[in-house]
Order: sequence, then C-alpha cells, then structure tokens
Amino acid sequence: MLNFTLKPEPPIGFKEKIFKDVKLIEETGLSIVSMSVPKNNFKQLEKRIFENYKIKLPVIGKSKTAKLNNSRFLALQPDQYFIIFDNKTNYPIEELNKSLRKEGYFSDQSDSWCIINISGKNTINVLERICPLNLSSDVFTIGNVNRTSMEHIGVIMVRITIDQFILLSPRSSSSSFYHAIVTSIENIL
Amino acid sequence: MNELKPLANQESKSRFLNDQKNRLKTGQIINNKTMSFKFNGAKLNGFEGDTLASALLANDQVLVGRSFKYHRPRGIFSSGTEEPNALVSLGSDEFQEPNTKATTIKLFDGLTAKSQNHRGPLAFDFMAATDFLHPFLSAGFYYKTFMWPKSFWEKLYEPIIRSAAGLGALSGKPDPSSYDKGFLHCDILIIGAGPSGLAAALEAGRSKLKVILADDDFLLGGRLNSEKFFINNQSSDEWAKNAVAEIMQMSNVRIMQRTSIYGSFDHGIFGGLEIKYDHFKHNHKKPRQVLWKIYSKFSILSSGATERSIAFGNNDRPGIMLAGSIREYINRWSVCPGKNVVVFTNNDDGWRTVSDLKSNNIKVSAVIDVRKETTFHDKEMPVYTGTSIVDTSGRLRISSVTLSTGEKIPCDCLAVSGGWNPNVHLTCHQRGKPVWNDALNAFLPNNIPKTMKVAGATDGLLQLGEALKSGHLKAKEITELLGKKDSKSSAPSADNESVKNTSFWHVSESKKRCWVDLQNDVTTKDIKISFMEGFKSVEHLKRYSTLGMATDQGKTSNILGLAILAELSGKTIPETGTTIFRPPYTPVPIGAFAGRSRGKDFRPTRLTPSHNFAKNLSAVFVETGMWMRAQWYPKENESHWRQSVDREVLQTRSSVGICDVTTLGKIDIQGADSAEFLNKVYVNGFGRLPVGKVRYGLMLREDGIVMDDGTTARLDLNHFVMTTTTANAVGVFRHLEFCRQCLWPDLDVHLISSTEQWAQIAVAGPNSRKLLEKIVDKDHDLSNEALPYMGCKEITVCNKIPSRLFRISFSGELAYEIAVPTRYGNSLFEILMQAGEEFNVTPYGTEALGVMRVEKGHAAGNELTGQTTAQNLGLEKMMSKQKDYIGNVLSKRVELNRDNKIILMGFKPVDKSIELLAGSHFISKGKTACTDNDEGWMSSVAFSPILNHSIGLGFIRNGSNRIGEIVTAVDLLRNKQIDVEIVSPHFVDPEGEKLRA
Repeated sequence: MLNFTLKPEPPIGFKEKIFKDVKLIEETGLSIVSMSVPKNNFKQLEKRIFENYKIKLPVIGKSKTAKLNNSRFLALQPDQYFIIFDNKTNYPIEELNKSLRKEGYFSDQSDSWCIINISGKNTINVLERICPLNLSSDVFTIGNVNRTSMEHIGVIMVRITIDQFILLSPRSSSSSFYHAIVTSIENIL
Repeated sequence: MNELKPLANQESKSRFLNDQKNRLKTGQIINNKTMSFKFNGAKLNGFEGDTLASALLANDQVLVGRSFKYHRPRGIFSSGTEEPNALVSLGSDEFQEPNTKATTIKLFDGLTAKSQNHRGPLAFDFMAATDFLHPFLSAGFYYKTFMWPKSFWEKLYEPIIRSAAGLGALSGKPDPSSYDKGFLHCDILIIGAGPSGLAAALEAGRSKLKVILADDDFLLGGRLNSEKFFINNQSSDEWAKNAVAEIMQMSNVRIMQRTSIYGSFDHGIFGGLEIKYDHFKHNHKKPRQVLWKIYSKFSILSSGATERSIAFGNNDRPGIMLAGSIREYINRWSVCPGKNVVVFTNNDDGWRTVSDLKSNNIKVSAVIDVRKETTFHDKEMPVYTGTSIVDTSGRLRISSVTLSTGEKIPCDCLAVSGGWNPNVHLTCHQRGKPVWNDALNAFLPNNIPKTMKVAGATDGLLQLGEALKSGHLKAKEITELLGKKDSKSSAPSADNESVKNTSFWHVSESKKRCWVDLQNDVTTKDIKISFMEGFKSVEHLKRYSTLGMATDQGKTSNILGLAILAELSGKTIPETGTTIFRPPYTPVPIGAFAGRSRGKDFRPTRLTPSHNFAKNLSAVFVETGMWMRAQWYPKENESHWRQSVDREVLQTRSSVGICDVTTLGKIDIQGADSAEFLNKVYVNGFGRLPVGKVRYGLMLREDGIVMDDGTTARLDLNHFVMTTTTANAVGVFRHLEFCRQCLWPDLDVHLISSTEQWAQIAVAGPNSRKLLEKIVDKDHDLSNEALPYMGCKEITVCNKIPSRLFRISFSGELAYEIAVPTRYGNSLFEILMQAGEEFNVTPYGTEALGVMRVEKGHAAGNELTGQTTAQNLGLEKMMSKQKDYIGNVLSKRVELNRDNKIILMGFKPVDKSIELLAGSHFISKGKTACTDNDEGWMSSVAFSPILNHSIGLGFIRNGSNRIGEIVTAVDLLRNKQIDVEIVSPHFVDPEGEKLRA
C-alpha cells in the first residue's frame, strides 16, 4: 500500500463566530456514541456506569455529566442514550468499552451529527425564530435534552446554562442548519 | 444661536399645524416629531403617532379611494382594522403593497401612498360612469348576464370585468422584502390591550404568570386612548400609559405591539402577525413581518368591539364615518374630520361623540336619534328623536343630510353609530357558534375553547367599569387554575357609561341606495334580490352578493346584512344565524406564511461527503429528495450530457469507476434477536446469514406490495447493517421502529440510523480490487477467496482509519462499497482518484449509475412504485415458505398471482437507432392502442453505451413466457409507437460472472 493519508473534515468548518452578543462554536474533538440497553441488562449497565462515571443514568429528557472523558449522557428515549465525550481516536466504541465492557449495544454516531454550541444573552431570541420548544428556563431547565425540528431539520438540543445550548443536527444538512441559525441572528441583531 | 432654535422650531411647528386644516390645536400628538409623507404625489405633513388615516384627515384629505364595483368616491370610514374604504397602495415598484388599510398604517417620514381603483385623477375617475349603470349591476348580475356565449367568459367578459372592478394591484415583481417566523410559549396569551386586556395583564403579570400581551395597534390602551374616561381618578389615557409602564417592567410579560392575533387553533395555539419594520423608511434588510406560532396554556380574548353602521340612502359618501372613530380621531390624534358635524345614532354611545365634539368646540349641526326617547338632551343644538336620515348629498364629500321629515341639514361630516358588535371572531375559529343577545343586539361568544376566556367588550361588557373588572377577574381565575397565587390586587375602578341601544338596522323609507357593505358595494337592494332569488341562507347570501368578503371580512357590515335578511325572511336574527368566522381575522401576506422558506431556503439541502470534490470537478448536480447528488462529471471536451455519461459507463466497465452512494439509508441493527427481527421484516431468511456476509433483502408492506429493497450485512452475531433505497431511508426506519416498538416489543432489537455516519463509495469495474488494494491496510486480504461476492469485512484503510468493506454490486461489475467515517469521505474520494490514476479511474454520477443498473436489470425506484409485488419483479423465489413475514398472507392473494400478471422484463427496440421512452404502454402487435389492450408499461430506459442502443425495463403481462415477442411501445402523449422486443432484463453479464470474478 502506498502512503495515502485521509484528512478529516469538519461538518461545516466555521470553528467559531461571534455576532455581537451571540457566539457560535462548531464543536470538534468530541465523540458521540449511541448506547442501547440490552433486554434485562439495565441494572448491570447502570452498575458499570456508576462504577466508572460515578453517575446514575439520567431519566428521559435529561442529561448528566461525568468527569471521565468529560462525558455527557443524554437520555433520548427508552433504552437509548447518547454519550458525548472527549476522544481523539477514531475508535470511540473501543474507548467506551474499556470501562463499559460491552454491557450495552454501541453505535458510533460521531460523524452523524454536527455539534453547534450557541451562547450569549440573545440566544433565546435567536432560537425562538426556529425552535418550537418552550425554552423558558423553568421548563427546559439546565441539563434538559430534547429532540425537535428546526427549519425541517431534526435537532437534538441540550441546555448547558441559562443562555447556552448545544445543538446536534445531522451532518449532511448541517450547512443548512448553520444558515438557519445565522439567518435568525441576522434577523434579530 | 441656541436661543433662537426653539423659536425656529416653534415657527415650523405652527406652519405644520396651519397646513393641517383639520388638526386641533390641543392634544399630546402635536408636541411630537413632525413627519412628511406623500399621497397621490402630494406632499403632506403629520406627526409621529399618526396613522396614515389620521394624517390624511388632518390634511383634509377626505376622499381617499373609489369603490369596488361602482367607482363611487369613498372616504375614511373608521379608525381600525374594520376599515372597508380607505385601502391604499403603499410603496412603489417591487415594494408596492396594495389594499393596506390607511387606518392601521403607522405614519413614518417618507411614506408614500396611492389611492386605488380609478382611471384618471382620484377626484375625476372615468370609470365612475359605471355608477350610472347601477340598475343593471345588482347582485348576481355577472352570473346571469355573462352566460352566453360560453367561450366569451374567459376571453372577453372576465378580462373586462377584472380591469373595471377590483381593488389595488400587485407590482407583478418578486417581493424583495423578507419575512420570518417564530415560536412563543406562555401561561396566558392576552389578545387585545384595551381596558380589559390591560387589567388582565396587570393582574396576571403581578401574579408572576408568563404573559404575552398582543395588540394590533402600535399604541397600547385601545379605547382608553380615544375616550375621556377616568380610571382610579386618572384620565383613561394616562392610566393606560401607567399600566403599560408597569407591565413593561415585568420580566414575565412580553408586550407585542403591532401584532395581530389572526387565528385560534387547537391546543391553545394561536397565529400572530407582528409588524416589525413596515413603519420605518429603512428596514436594514430585516424581516418586515414575523409570523408567530404562540403556544398558550390559557388565553384571554379582550379584542373589544367594533361599531357598526346604519344603512340609509347614499350612506357611503366621503365624510360619513363611524361615530366612535370620529371620537378617536379627536381624542387620540387631535383631528376632527369636519367643521360642521351631524350625528346619527340608534344608541347612547353616539351621544358621547356629540359630547366630545362639543368639548373641542366643533359645531354639531344636529343630532338625529332614531329612538323616540333618549335620556340625552342638548338645548344648544337641534336634536331630532324618532327621526332618521333618508338621503345625503355631496359628490366628493358629504354636504348635507335629508331627514325622514324632509328637512335638509348642511354638514361636512356625518357621524353614524349603529351599535357595537363584540369581536367574537377568535372564539369561532374552532367551531364555536356565537349566540344572539337581545339586550345588546349583538352576537356573544359561546361554546368557546376550554382554555379560552373572554373579557370586556368582547364578552358584551361594553361599559368601562365592567370591562376592567372582567379582565382582572379572568386573570385571577386563570392564576388559580394554574395553581399559582394571585397578586391580591383589586380591579381598576371606573364608572359605567350608558350603553342603551335599539335594534335599528336600516332606514326602510330611503328611496336611494343604502349601502350595507362598503367594501364590496353591497346594498340593501342586493340583499333583497338575493333573497328573492332563493339565496335565503346567510352562507348563500354571502357567496351570491359578496357581502362580508375581502379585506375587512364584513366587520362593519355582517350583522347589518343578516339583520336585513332576517327581516326579509320573517325570522329572528338568531334563527337566521351568522356566517362562520374563519382565520385569518386580519389579512396576512402570503410572504409571511412562507417566512424565510423561499428560493434555496425553501427546504434544507443535504450534501454528500464528496460534495466538495464533485463541485471542484464541475459536476452537474441533481436533487434527489433533499440530497444534492453528482449527476455526471463533464469534461472540457464534452458538450452533451450523454457524452459524459457514456464515457463514465464505458470507463467503469472497462477499468474502474467510483461513485458516492452515501445517500442510501443505513440502519444499524443490534441485539440478541436481530436476526429474528430481520426474518420478520424481509421476505427472505436472514437467520442463517453468516457473519461476514451480505444478503439482498426484499421488504413487503402488509398488503403484499413491495415496500423497499436493499442489502443487509452481518457484521457480528448480533449486529447487522441494513441498507435501504435513498428515497425510502426514513420510511423504512420508521417502519422498523414501529415493528420493534409495537409489533414485537419483546425482542431484544435496537435500531439507529447510521446513514450520516458512514461515507460510502461504490468502487466498480474489473480493476476495483486492484484499486482498493492500494489504500486498504496490508493486513486485510481482498482476494476472491478471502472476500468473495456478497462478503463484508470491517477493515482499516490509509493507516488505521476504520472502514467497512462490502463486496456488492449494483453495476453488475466486480464491485465493492467501501465506507469510512464521514469526516474522511471527501478525502477518500480524492485518494481513490489519486490511487486510481494508473487504472484511468473515473468518478461517475447518478446517471451512469442508472444506466448500469438498467443494463444489469436491477429494480429501482421506477420499479418499486408502491404498486408492484415481488412476483411482478420476478423475485417470488425469494419469498420464504419456511417462515412468516410482513406481507406474507396478503401476497398470496389470487389476483397477485395470476398467470398473466405483469413481470419485469427487458425491452430493446427493433430498430436500434430509435430511443425508447419511459412511460410508454405495451400493446400487442396489430391491436388498437387503448386501455383495454394495455399490457403493461416501460418503467426505465437508458442508452447502453455497451450495446450501443437504447434499452428499457418494464412490466408486461406474462412477460417471462414471451421472450422474443415483438410488441408496440405506445406513447400517446409524445405521439410515438415503437416496436420493441421482449428480452431478459439482464442485458449485461446475465450469468453474473463479472461480479463474482
């Protein structure tokens, strides 16, 4: 084999943009792995997670963070979680299995999604132009996670702070999604 | 110098005031910034806070338009969204917006407006001659007159009528403005910021509920700004100002001025249109309007009431206005539309206009009250009780009224009050039917949505004190329902004014035309004719006479019209009923409904991993669903697409080609019962598929029709990857989730889409293995023995990059599909091109892909139409008899298994130079081309560069037994009849030797 090297490309490639008081960051260097719970194996999986991550799995609609690999567990639906964590390898499942020892069914989703981190005091005003969810801080509280649709694009959103969210949108349409967010920003700022 | 400035300003201000003939010299507005605007080219002045209507009236511009049908002179009639007459075109060129109501447009410096529907000057409209023809133009005239000859309707009658009648015209150019949409959530949506709305917002806000207070006006307060009332010992406008100031300080209340709530929908959802930049000269490229979808737990409808008119002879002249509106012009905008006013009323409210006119020293020539007795008396002016107006005169402006007594009274303005209609519209959008109230002579809300409450005048509480109390009370009730503590504050207090009225609708002794609907030129005579001709239901009356249609939706005319209908039919108004109020309450531009979904933003675009590579090679793209796929890659010397496609096919079949096939759906299936699950959804078995193998699978719907097809690879004992067609990726995933969650919830099966995760590239052609061997890490063996046809492997490429390799072929060549994490997709494409230089590798697009699959005889979307079965596709041998699967039972229906069923076959032209046409229907030789003789259809065609002629796939009855037969492919649309030979669908390598090489 000749020496060919594959070069990774980010979904959009804008890295970071600041529009007055709204900041967008395209998160890279994170892995996303979907974890499904095998039938009758929830307790064993939860035990393993607690041993390694020191957390209990969140209930649906919530997320929890753990120190190990700066991980965030998103509970999306019965028996399915997304784990977002720092990872520099191309083998996130192997990384997870070091601690979880194949107690769950894992599927790499790192390249399925584009992760946009949006923050700043006008974040809610920007999002209300495209997001049908009630983002009131006492309804969609910090740590909440939800699937929704913005401009016909499926989005998973997590509230990080009062005015900071991470938005996961499918990679293939991420440019359209980014355009939708920027249009919202330009429309209000 | 500094000291001189105020003086200069003062001089300038008084010049402005002198220019505005009808502007009163007192009032808050005259201290505001001055503004200039143009109407029909004339430069006029107004003040900040004016509407276009108030500024026009201030400048004594009473004539503002021409009527819809008869081109009669028309003036401003009201002061709000109910306005039927004062429709103007705003802006110019592509920004021109017709039919906007001058009464709702906030004046801005530089505004330009034009009157509508006249030929020649507004004051001398040539089309006014139409008015002389009025005896012939009553309701139903068009329907009855233009019946014959039939062909004249579209060519002659309709164009003439359209050019003669109507409202304003669009520019015909694309709308350059932008629009946006948004979503809001609240505990209470309060619709209308009048007395009850403000009282409700104060209480709900103080109780810490999340409140949205929406009002279509740019100044909150509703009639509090146009009346001389007192609340809590403050003047009503001052109280409103203070209330708004307090509400604005509340972080839990969102105030939305210039926002019309145009529709009430299920589950507490409302539609709102917010005017963002229409009232500015420059919008800085921001959306002019935003369409909001508002989700509310509760709503309070406090949208007030609309004054109605009385129908009497020639009641449509400029200068004839609603009495309450005249009050508003005086008190809010310091404008009096005339110097010599007559008031005509059937209720106490009309007398308040008398009072406000007098307190502003405006001459009231007479008060005509149809009631024989009133509690109001005024010795300073003639008061006529038990009297009515039968006629008016004045061509471009009213100059006098004639009473039923025969007396003629000169005037330049007539204030008319026919009572008030609560604005119940939003209570009816979910089929609420209002009920008639005899005391108010109006419809009141009834059967309203459970989460809606109605307050103030909308609920029939026309008196200020009652309205304030009701708003406060409704907010308290909702606070309690939400389990929150109320604020303990008490309702604002005000006196209750007298609102007595009588049911007087029209002056029957009038000999002249009495207008009911000013916007549509509907008179009492039109209603009578409609009734006489059998249109006796209120809904029929509306359609036949156009009563209550167009931009005002009959806000001032509906009740009047149906009261007259009731009178004609000898029924009561409740027996007669009312038309159904539907959204939108106020007009919403189509652009606002579209929002930003215009042009390329109509829907999202999905890009394949190799998009940049393809773009750099100037690929021609095609939209497949939302995906943008490279269709072909033209070279500089190629001028026709066929040249590119033929080259791509030939190069692939002779050496190697690569194609991005990422768009095919990929579903990751894991779990101990995955194989059993697949057995249930596919017609063929997957239980015994070995790890490292791929199998083609066919999926049926319950009715036995093919749903989708694709390959499924077994990566591990409990781990499969299914591929679907691009078009059905979402549908199949949804179907599988349904099966997993609802049909077989006990199975240990877990699904997740991995379509986006893996960039998948087809590498096809006799040199495909050699090409792949150059990039696959050396510890992976790609030989035919190690990875035979329909094998799969998890491998690494380019130094430990994870990859999946499937030896499958859509082209019929020795072929693979290689997948890498999507981030490496574009790079892999480039590297394959680089590594394949020695093989003269070519990228190929969807056209070449399609040609090769037709040559190979593979079914695709054209064949999987939702009407074809496995039997039709010639795949019945795949249908397992050893197991059950979805579609098994119904696929056995007799009709689907007849001997003469259609079968997928190949077709080639007898004359090889002729191009086949997809969509042609097959007719046996010698038979007539008609439906009875239809034996099937051509589903796909392509030019095969290998065979050097056109080929096709199609369905024909009993096809497998008719190989070699010549039939005619008939295309009646394109008028072609082509003789074709029925052949095997596999045009190349029918034995499959190439793909197994």
